[in-house]
Amino acid sequence: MILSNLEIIKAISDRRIIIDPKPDESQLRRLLNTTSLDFRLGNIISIPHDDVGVTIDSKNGIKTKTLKTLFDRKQITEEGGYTLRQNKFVLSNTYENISLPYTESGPNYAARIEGKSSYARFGLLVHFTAPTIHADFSGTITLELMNLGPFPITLYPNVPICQIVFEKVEGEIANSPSQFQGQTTPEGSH
Amino acid sequence: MPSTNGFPSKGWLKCSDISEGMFPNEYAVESITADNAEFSLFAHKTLVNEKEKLLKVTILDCRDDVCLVILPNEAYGVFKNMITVKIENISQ
Repeated sequence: MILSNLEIIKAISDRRIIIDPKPDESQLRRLLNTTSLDFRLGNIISIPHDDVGVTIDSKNGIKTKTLKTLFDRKQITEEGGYTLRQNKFVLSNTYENISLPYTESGPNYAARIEGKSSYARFGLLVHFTAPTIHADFSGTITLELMNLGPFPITLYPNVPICQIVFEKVEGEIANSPSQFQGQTTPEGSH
Repeated sequence: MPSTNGFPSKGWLKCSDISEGMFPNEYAVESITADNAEFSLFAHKTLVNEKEKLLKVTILDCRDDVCLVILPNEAYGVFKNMITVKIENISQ
């Protein structure tokens, strides 16, 4: 069940949903929609190198060490922003850090990142394949930014870029190691 | 070594390597599963003890010599965020 804005405020107040930096009341009013909370763009853009001759092997995965060498990091400012050209893909992250602490007694929450309809009309994707923020996640949300539209789009830090939809986790999470033994290879995780 | 009750609880997973991540607020972390499979993930800096090479995880339970933990992010190599690790690699 999706949380309403009042339930989101209550969960933040109860520290079942932790937003850092914690928005004050006036910020919350600006960031809340009826059933979601806007998150803002951070100030780092990670830009993939073109034509480096690397093939991502989905069977064997890729090490974080390799992955980070394939991107250039660029700091963006509120003055200059970053212009995302048509058909270009970059990574960024949210200004806000989110934690969804898991406890046995609950209630526990998971969330999904969604785009904003205003940007969608210009063809901006903020995620396209990994929307789930699992229970017990803690960190900033990585944004998969892609401009599918016909115009360049200039992005600025601290501007609302996406919205987070919260859902209550129903039922217990499996907690026996035996249920997960032998499932730590790609073949075992199907 | 963790106790056999009081789960879930926070604990530290021993890592084989820690280096800078793609963003300034994260580290790239490497460790191994209970089945000796290598994995790596990006984790927020507040969840990593770089000096001691430790990653903060949520321990769901420990049985015999294995603990089931929730990683702070989906890991490359195992493609999931709930895995088993050896109890000897866990501290609280």
